[in-house]
Amino acid sequence: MNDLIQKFNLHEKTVYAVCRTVAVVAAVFSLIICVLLIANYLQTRAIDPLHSQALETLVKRLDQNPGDAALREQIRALHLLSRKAYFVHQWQLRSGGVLLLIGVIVMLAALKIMQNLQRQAPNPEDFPDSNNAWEALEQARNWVVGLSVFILGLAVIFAILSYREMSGAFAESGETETIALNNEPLKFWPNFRGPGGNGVANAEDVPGDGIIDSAHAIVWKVPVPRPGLSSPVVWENHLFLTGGDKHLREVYCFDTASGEILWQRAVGFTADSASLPDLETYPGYASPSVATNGRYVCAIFASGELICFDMTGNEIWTRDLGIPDNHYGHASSLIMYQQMLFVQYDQNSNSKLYALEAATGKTAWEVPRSDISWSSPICVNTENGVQLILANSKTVDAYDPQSGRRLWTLDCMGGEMGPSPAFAGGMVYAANENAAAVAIRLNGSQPEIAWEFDGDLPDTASPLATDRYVFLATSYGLLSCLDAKTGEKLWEAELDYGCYASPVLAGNRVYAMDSGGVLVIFEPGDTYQPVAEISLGEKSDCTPAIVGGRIYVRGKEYLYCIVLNQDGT
Amino acid sequence: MSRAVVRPKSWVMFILLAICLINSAALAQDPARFPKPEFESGYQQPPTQTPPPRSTGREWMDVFVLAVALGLTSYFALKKRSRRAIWAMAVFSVIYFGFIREGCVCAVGSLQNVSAALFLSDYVIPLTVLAFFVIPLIFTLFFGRTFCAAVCPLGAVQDLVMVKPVPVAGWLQEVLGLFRYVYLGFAVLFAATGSAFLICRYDPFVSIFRMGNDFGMMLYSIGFVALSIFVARPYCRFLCPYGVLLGWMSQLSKKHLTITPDSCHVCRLCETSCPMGAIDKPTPEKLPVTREQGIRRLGVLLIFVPVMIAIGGGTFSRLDVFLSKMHPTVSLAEKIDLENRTGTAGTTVETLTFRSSGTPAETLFAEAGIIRKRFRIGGWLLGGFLGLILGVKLIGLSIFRTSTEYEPNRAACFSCGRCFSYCPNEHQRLENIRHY
Ligand code: SF4
Repeated sequence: MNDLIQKFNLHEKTVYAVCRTVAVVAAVFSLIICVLLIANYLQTRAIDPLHSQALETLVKRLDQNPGDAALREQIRALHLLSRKAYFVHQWQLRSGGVLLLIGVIVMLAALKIMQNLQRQAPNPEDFPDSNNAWEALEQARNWVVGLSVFILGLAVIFAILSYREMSGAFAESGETETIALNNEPLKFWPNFRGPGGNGVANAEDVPGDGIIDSAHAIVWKVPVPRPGLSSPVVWENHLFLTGGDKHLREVYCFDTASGEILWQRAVGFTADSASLPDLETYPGYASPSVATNGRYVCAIFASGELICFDMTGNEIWTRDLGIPDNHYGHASSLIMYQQMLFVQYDQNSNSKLYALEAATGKTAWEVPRSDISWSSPICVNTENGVQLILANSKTVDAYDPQSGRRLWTLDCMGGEMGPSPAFAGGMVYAANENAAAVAIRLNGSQPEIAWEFDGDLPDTASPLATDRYVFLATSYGLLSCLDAKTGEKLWEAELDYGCYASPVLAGNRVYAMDSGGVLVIFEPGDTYQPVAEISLGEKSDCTPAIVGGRIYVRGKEYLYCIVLNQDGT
Repeated sequence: MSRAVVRPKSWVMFILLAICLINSAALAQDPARFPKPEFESGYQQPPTQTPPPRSTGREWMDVFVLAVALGLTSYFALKKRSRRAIWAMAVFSVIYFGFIREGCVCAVGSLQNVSAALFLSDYVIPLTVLAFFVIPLIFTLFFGRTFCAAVCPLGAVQDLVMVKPVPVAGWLQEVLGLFRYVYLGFAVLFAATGSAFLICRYDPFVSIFRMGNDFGMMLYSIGFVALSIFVARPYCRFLCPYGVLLGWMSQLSKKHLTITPDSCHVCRLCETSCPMGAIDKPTPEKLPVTREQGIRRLGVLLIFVPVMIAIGGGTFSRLDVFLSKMHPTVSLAEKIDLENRTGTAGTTVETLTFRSSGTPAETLFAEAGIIRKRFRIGGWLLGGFLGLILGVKLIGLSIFRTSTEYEPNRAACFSCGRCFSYCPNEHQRLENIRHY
């Protein structure tokens, strides 16, 4: 600025005086514009056509008297007028804003020039006596401590006030969500192979030990609308199945008392049915079993369509995971733990394990996986906490269900992995044809293989484990019992048909469904102790569900309810 | 014989002006994403988004302008040492990034996009926004906070309106500066939970760049501008969350602006030159405590830091109910709950819309419960972070670093170049240049 003054030979005092006048004028101008803008704003609010009282009154009158054409015209005219006024005011606000901006810029520029003209060389003599640097640090430290206490105090006050204010249904709902979901998945038969996916029924659900013939044991039998290999899942009086083909997939909810269909929902939101793989033969589009936690029920199909309903069949959310790259079709069942739904999405490429929020379907976490499988996850309580255990065509892996962190992995499987793992007595068991049956001792975070068995092995049915025995059922009908501690084969029995369904345990009996539709019941022991056989009269490859003393079985076309006690309980 | 000399400053400004004009002309012709309905009334559809969406090419153009502006400002601050050129860059940034681009996208706000992308599985961050976040940090790592000097429109506007800055006492500056961390923590928490983009919502200058906003926000903006006349860069120093990251980077920066082009003679002339209070002065030789006392104090503080983290985490985790109200789902769930309990329905547009959707309230409550739980975890992290920052600050204030010259504090200096002209060595340098 000083250069310019010199260049144009201006007098500094004159420039200063001009700037001062300009600054004062610009300030007054800006102030006036400011006042006008505020007044205009208040007026604009008053004439907002959306909230005009006069208009509202007229519209009410027109409602009472819809044929009044004059009134209609009057409303139109008034509305047009108020809209015009509104937009004029809007324009004025905007133009005023620009004027205010210009006024402020001019004022600031004038002030800056004045400041530059007043600028003098600094003189350290005139500098204020600043504090000693160390004293300043001390002072700052005290204030930081004060601020910390202040922030903490404020946080405590807000926390107390907000918790006190939180009462009523929503507050409870938030809490019950966690509590209910913490405990309840272990009730009933919430997913494939029952609680935790481990093939063992709850003690309160064990069927009676009466034995009657097949004709009397089946208390009801109802057709399932569409084919599928998903096994029954039961929660209270709701039994869920899925069925489907290339054109339509469905979720069914049956009444456990009568077999009546309570609701049936079609699923078909994937973009293009024609692009679905041809899976009309084995295993089809509806192999994975659903999972429920008593509030939501989720289903997945070989199309990659994932859907969630509430217990009354209202759709809550859907997700399209994309058609999996899977030559037989996706078959892994769902499982829930707390408020999460887990999807083992193993395929030829891009395999993943998803944890989704059951309430929303949003991904809580996802982790990549290495190989394909048709096996389902189990969620079990180990000495190191709850672990989600999965097997694929190469490894057995455990994950932390909360974070998705892989806890351990063992390279011990092979072949096309269909059977799911089992857990009992601190050991994880996995088996597959063309590989081995393996017992993994969970030594804290250093699991190790306790034994391996390479005799007759299953290719679809999952092993069933108790503290003492491991049962394996092969697809050519050989049932073996191994010593859980050593892997030594204790006995074997030949069934009439092969086994694709997984054997399950309830009380002191094992229930194994062979593919000829015969439910073979035997007692676990050092020798084979058959108890009974119940024949469905049609083929079956689905794992039974055992709840409330009843056994629910899906045949090729029908769903069955079996009660073993004479009195029908 | 006279030769026409084009000084670098002029051609650089010419290029920037050209970019600015090309962009503003292009902006005016940006195609709408959806065709407008054809009305015969001649009614002009107002834009539905502010600022209107730009094509990807133009977004990359903004990234290019950002990088060029950063490069030039760094050159002006570190090499040319020209306050005037930095000032001109600030004017450019206010016009281009402020008024033409209407303050969006900005590096400060991009912090939230990055947080959302890190924590929300269904949020995808555009690459250009990521570039706006990363590029200034990289430049700062090499050249100090030249982004703040003249490229950030928020900083630039405060710099330009600064007329009569009053000095702020050192201790007060330290204490007020801590609010940047608090703001950073809350901004990340709300963005990461999908609740709100706090920084954008409470941007004090965006109403001015867009020439409009609601009345309250306009008053807030005008207040901030008025404050900036008397307090040097109040937003940058006491609120800017992105400034926290830039400060960290700047402390590690390879090069940094210096007050003197030569060695400091401790003439004291620059002592009061920095309105931002960013000049570290020479310290007394004698330390206020003995070495043993200093070590003991440090030991106590080091033990105390984990305690502060734990107390902070524990306390803030209990703010879940309070903080989660910011999330639209939780807020809706609370309204629905209140309506259910009081036997009313549809008291607000949101509740009316929700009820007409047919979604069971249970589902909404469950979702809100999950979000609240996320706030519980976020509260732990936020409280822990604040405990850590306060603890580290106390440690920093307890370590006595001696210095014998005047130099800019790397974390706090905005590289504005105001202090250059106060240094006699700088005058000598300019004299030498003029001479040769
Ligand atoms: S460049 Fe100088 S005046 Fe500007 S902030 Fe840094 S120390 Fe302060």
